[in-house]
Amino acid sequence: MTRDEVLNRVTGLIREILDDETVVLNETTSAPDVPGWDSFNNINLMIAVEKAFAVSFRAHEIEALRNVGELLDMIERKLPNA
Amino acid sequence: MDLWLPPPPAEFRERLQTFAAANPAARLDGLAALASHNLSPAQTRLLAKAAVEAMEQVPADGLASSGYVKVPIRIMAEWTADHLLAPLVVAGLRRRLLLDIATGDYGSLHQSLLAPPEGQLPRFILFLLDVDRRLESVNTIGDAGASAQWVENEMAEIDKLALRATEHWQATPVFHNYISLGGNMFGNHDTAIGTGPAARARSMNAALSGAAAGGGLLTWDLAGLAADIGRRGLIDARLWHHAKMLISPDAAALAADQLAALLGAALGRSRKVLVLDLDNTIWGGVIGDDGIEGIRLGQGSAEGEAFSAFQRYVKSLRSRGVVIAVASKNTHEICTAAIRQHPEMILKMDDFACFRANWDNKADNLIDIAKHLNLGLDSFVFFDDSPAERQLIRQELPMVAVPEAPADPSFYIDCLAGSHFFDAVSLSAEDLQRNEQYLGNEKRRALSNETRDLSGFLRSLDMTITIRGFNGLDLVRITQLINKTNQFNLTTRRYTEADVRAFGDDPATVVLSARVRDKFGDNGLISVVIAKPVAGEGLSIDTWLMSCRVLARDVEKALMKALVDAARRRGAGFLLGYYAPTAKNKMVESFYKDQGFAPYREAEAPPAGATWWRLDLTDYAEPTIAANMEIVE
Repeated sequence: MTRDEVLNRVTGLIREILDDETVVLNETTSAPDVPGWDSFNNINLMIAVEKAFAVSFRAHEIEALRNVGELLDMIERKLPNA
Repeated sequence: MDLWLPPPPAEFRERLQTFAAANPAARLDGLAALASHNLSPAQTRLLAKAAVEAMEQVPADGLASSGYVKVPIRIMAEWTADHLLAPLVVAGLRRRLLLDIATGDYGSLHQSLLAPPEGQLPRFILFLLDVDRRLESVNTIGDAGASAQWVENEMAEIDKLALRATEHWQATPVFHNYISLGGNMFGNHDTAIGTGPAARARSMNAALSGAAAGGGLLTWDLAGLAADIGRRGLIDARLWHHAKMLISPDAAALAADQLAALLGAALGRSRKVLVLDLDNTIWGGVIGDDGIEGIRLGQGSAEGEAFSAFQRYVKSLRSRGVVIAVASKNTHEICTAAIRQHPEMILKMDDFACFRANWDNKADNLIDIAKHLNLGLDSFVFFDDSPAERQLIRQELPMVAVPEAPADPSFYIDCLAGSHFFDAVSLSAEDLQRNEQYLGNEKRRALSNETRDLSGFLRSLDMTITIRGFNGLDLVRITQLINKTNQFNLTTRRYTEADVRAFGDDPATVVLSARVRDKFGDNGLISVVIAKPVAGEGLSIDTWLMSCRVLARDVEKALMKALVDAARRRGAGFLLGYYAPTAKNKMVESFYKDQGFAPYREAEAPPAGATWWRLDLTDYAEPTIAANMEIVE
C-alpha cells in the first residue's frame, strides 16, 4: 500500500466519522484544523483506523500523535511487509 | 460485535433522506425500520441525529396514537458515555421508545442530583459509576471484615442516590453492575479466597441484585454482557485510561441495546409472544418431504442436538410466561402428527397457544394469531430460518420484531436471548401460569361454540370473581398490569410500585383488583381499578384496566358494583370516569356509556378525543352477573 493510498483511506474514515464529505487531509493537517475533529471523534478515528488496517495502537502512541503525517507513519510502521 | 439484526440496506442514506419529508409518525416508522439493522457507528450517529429531529417535530399528544412513547432520561456519569448516546437513541427507536437523553455534569454526582430539577422530570436516572476507582479505593486483601464493610458502604451510597432519584425526581434509578478491570488477585480461587477487588465486585453485584429484586432500582447487567462477549471486548483498557470510556465503542451497540431493553421492560414494552416456524426452526429438515423418521431432532446428530437445545429453551421461555405460537407453511395434520409422535419432541401441542400450519401467507397467519390471542402484533417476535419469510414479515408487519436467525441452529438460543425482546424486571405468579390460561381459553372457546347465548355460556363456566382492596402481596402483579395493559385500559397511566403502594396506603383512595377462576383454571389477577376522591363528595376513576384474556366475562360489571359499594361507604355521591384514547384502546371507547355513565364534558387537555363521564350513584342499576362474586376486604 502506498502512502497516498493510506492517506486516502484515512481521509475516507474521518469523512465518515464527521459525516462531512468535504474534509481534505494532508501530511501537516492536525485535529484543530478540521471542524468537529475533537478528542471524542479522535478516539472514534483511532478505532476505525485500527479496524480498517488491522493494526493496533498503544495508548501512549495515540497520545503522542501531532498530525496526520505522524498517524500515517505509525500505520505504515505497523502494516505487515511495509 | 454485531446485534442479531440484518445488515443495513445499501440505500441507507437515501432512505434516511426520504423520510425527512414524511409526516412525523411516518418518519418515525421509517427510521424505526432502519434502526432494526446492524448499523456502522457512522450510520448509527446519522440515524440518531435524524431520530432526535423527528422526535422534536412530534407534538406532545401525537405520540401515543402512533405507538411511540417519549421517555426522558437523565444520565449522571462518572465516566465518558458520549459514544453511547447515539446507539442508545437507535436501540430505543428499535423498541418504539423515543429516548430523550439529558446529561448531567461529568463527575459531580451528588451535586447534580441535589440541583432542583427544571422542566420535565426524567422517567429514569442512569447512574454511570466509576466502578474501577471505587473498587480500587481500598485494599482489603485478607480482611473479610473490611471487604464486607466496603460493600456495605458502597451499597449505602447507592441506596442514598436511588432514594434521592425516587423521591426528589420521581425517577426510576438505573445502576450498571460492577466489573473489576484488574482485580483477580488469586486466579481460579479468587472468589473462594475472597477479599480481592474482583471478589468484592461480585459481592457488590449480589447486593445490587437484591436491591433490584426489592424494586428500588434497575440493574443494567454489564457483568452479564462481559461474561457473554468477553470483558476485554466490553472494556478496552486503553480507552479507559485514555478517555475514561468504560464501554468500548466496539461494544456500544450491544450495551445500548441491552440497556434499552431494560428500560423497555420496566415500561412494560417487552414482547409477549414468540411465533415459530417449524421446518429447520424447531427441527432439522422438511417434515413434508423427510417424514417423521427423516427430520433431525435429538441425539444422533449435532444438528439434532442443537434443535433439541433450542426446543428446551423455548419451553423455558414458555414456563416463564412467554406465549408460544406456530406459523408454518405446511400441512396441518403432518405437523401435528410429528409433534405428537416424534419421541425426541420436547415441545408438545399443549405448549402452543395457537398453531397455524397451512399454505397461507405468513403475514396473514400472524394477523390471525394476534386476533385469536387478543394481543397486539407489536408484542410479537417472529423466528424463522427462512430469510424470505423474515423479509416478508419485516415489510408487511413492521411492528413485529424479527431477529436475524443465524444459519447454524446451534446459535438460535444466543440469537433469541441476545435480542432481549422478552426481558422482564419481575416475575409474577400469573407469568408462570400464562400458557395454561391461554390453553384454558382455547377450551372455553370450544365450549362457547357449543353454547349459543352468552349468559348461558358464562354460567356454564362456573366462574368466581374475587375482588379485593389493596394488598401488598399483589403489588408486583398490579404494577405489572398497570405498565403493560394497552387495550382494555381507559387512561393508560403508568405507575411504579412505590406509586401503587402510596395509593394503597391512602385511605381516601380506592384500589381494587379482581381475580377470575372457572372450571378450566385460574386466570389470576386480571383487573385493576384506582379511584381518587374529588371535590363535591365524589370519586374519580384514575385507572381502570383489564387483561384481554377475560373479555366479556362480566368482570367489569362485578368491579363496578364493588366500586359503587366502596364509594357509598365513603359517602360519595357520584363517580367520574375519564377515557383517554391511544392507538390501542379503542375497544373501551364506549366503556363508561355501556356502564350507564352519562357524558359529562369534553376534556380540555390533550389527547384529542378524551372524554369525561359521570354516574350519580342514585342512578346505578345493579346488573346481573353470571358469576359468583367474592369480596375480600
